[in-house]
Amino acid sequence: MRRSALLCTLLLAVFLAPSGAANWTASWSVDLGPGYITTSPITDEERVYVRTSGFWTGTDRPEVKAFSHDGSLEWTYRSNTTTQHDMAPLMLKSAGTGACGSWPDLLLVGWANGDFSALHPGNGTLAWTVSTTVDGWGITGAPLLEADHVVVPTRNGLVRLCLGNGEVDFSVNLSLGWRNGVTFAEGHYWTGSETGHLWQVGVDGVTVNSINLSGPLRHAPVQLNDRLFLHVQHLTSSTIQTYNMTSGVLDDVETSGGSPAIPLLMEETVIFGDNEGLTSVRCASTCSVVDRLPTKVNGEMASVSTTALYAPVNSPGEGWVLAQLNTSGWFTMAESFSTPYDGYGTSSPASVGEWLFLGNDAGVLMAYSTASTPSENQPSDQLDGRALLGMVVLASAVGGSAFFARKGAFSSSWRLFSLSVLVVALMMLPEVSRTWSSALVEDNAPATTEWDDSWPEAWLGTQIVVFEFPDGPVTIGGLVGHQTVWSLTTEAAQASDIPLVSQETGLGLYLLSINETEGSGWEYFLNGERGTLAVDDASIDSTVVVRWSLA
Amino acid sequence: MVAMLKAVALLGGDMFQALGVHGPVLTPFASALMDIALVSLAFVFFVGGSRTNRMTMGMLATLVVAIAALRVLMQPLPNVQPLTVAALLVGAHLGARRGVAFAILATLLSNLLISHGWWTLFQAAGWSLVALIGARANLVQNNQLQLPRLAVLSVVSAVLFGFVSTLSLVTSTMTPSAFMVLLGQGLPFDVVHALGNLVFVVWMAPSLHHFLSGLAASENELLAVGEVHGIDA
Repeated sequence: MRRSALLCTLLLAVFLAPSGAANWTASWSVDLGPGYITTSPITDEERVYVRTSGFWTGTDRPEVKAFSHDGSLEWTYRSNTTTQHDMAPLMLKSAGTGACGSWPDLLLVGWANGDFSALHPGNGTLAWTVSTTVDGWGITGAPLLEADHVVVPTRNGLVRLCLGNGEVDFSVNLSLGWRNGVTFAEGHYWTGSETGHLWQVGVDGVTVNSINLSGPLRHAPVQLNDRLFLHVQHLTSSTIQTYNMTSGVLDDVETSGGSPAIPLLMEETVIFGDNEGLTSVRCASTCSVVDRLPTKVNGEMASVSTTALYAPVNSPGEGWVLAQLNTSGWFTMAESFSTPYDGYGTSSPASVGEWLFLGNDAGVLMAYSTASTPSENQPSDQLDGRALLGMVVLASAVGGSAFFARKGAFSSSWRLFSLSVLVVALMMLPEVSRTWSSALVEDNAPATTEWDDSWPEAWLGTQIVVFEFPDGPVTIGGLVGHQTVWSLTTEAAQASDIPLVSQETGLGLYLLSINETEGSGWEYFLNGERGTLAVDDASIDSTVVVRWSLA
Repeated sequence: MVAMLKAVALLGGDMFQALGVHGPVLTPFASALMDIALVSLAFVFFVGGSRTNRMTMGMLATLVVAIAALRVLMQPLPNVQPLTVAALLVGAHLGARRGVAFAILATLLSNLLISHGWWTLFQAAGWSLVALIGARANLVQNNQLQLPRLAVLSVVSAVLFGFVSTLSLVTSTMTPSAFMVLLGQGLPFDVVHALGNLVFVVWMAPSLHHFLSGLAASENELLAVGEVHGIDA
């Protein structure tokens, strides 16, 4: 029995021990203002480029900024007409020559006002710009760089532009899209939409096919061999699917959490993220889930080696997770990367040389430097003190329980054992409860059920918030790009100068008062149906009516 | 406010914002009426029970305060409820009437410190039901506490209490399926409640059993020497 107790303790120590943190040192940071950094900074050998999002109240407007690696601001490019979230990833293109002309080094920027701009990275001046369709919002997805063209997912389709002068090569209307990047595979362009379609477009801009999905697709399809990997969004869940471009067969791989992230291809493994964590999928004749890592990733992910990736954890007080996986697709290690500005975030870090650049919804660009980039082989040199303490206490309790049982003191043994089980259950409760609730709840009704004919038509297809105060409702519409009730409510409140008071709890975020009205609590309804999740866990569709009422 | 969160967490944490507080908002007058009704009911059960004397009343009142304080202290731990096992034991030792009185008073007192409202009624009913079960379950035989039986009943009580307190959320527009979803969402919290009860059974029940046994014995001794205050049928 003594051996059992020792073995038990050792096993706990092995399984619960935190792994080593990467050896990054904070170098500099700069607060970009009251908005967000929604998409990853990008770097070249001289500068880091970052775009801001959510700066459209008052005189604030979204910008693209360039900093030297040591933190000096080099230039700022401002969009005076963008009034929605800018989340299209920035892209750099080296100078070159192609069939449609020559171009210098370019920084390519898609804007929510529909503009697609090519800037000179050296000084931030405009090389050329092209306007595309705006319907509530404009460009929000990732462009695709080709030899001498860039293919841009617009609000309602695709345009292909010549890199030399921005001349439109083709433009095709599909259906409304949001955050829907584009992929080139098997001789065709592939892009998703909010209407639940996977569109196949020929190189000549002619629509070839559309495949019906079960929900919106908000990322560029990921190609691996003859398959496209898709993470289809539902209201409170998602479905990982594959589309075989040869056979035309759409297969479900797994049902997962809400608010999918942009998937990441790492060798032969595809990594998916959502409210339930990271999921690794590999394929032989069929595709299946290899492993899952509980966390909450809803934005971009970036690989730092063939087997290691960074992902932003989209929760208050969380930073980024550095996950490593083996060649079979199993997660072998996960550690937290914390910063002084941890919080909600969807942008992945960017690394170049010995630099790592990060930003999140706090709107602070942070630079870290290191002599060695973290890799899967880097030895542990730091331990999370609290996790270590918890592990030791838990292991001691279980070991002590076994010890007392060995001594025949069953009462003491039960005491320690039951307490250990309760502690573990309490630690698991928030995640278990969240997952369980999501599994129980069905998708909500469509937003049309809550539409009020007195609202402006411009609000059609957007996100709308109604605050029902005792002296009458306040309605804010035309909002876009929000993935959770909390994010949408916050922006609606800011737009109307309505103060919110919230409280973070172990069970999620709780909204205490709206406009200094507390009553006996507030409750929310999604498209007329009572919400069932904490506000920061409740994902929403791109078209939704969130109604807040006093309980 | 944290108290309210805790109270709502009792019914299933992830739905807590959605549901605001659980149940209709009471006016101050209605709230006062409810309090008066609960206290009156507890008083009737307390002093109207068999062989009540001042010492029993005093010690039971002390126990009410102690358990209510423990519940308030345990508030940061979602749905860890010391009152459940205490209600079972008080019911087992002092009978159904005083068990119910204990449950009502401890619920009312702790909710005044945590969060008070419509749900207090249902929580008091839930713990009263638990006390009734304790009084009928032969948990004490030959002055020996039947720990395995108490452990099983504490788990069952967690589920029953979860059901009764969830009834406070029922509205006129709620469909049966919506209520089932509501119950289902509370399941993880019921499990934690049950696990917490088991911890209290192994940590607290023997001492509480000792205390309540002494209380019952002293009551009998006082009766034997003629202390007749509060005697009833």
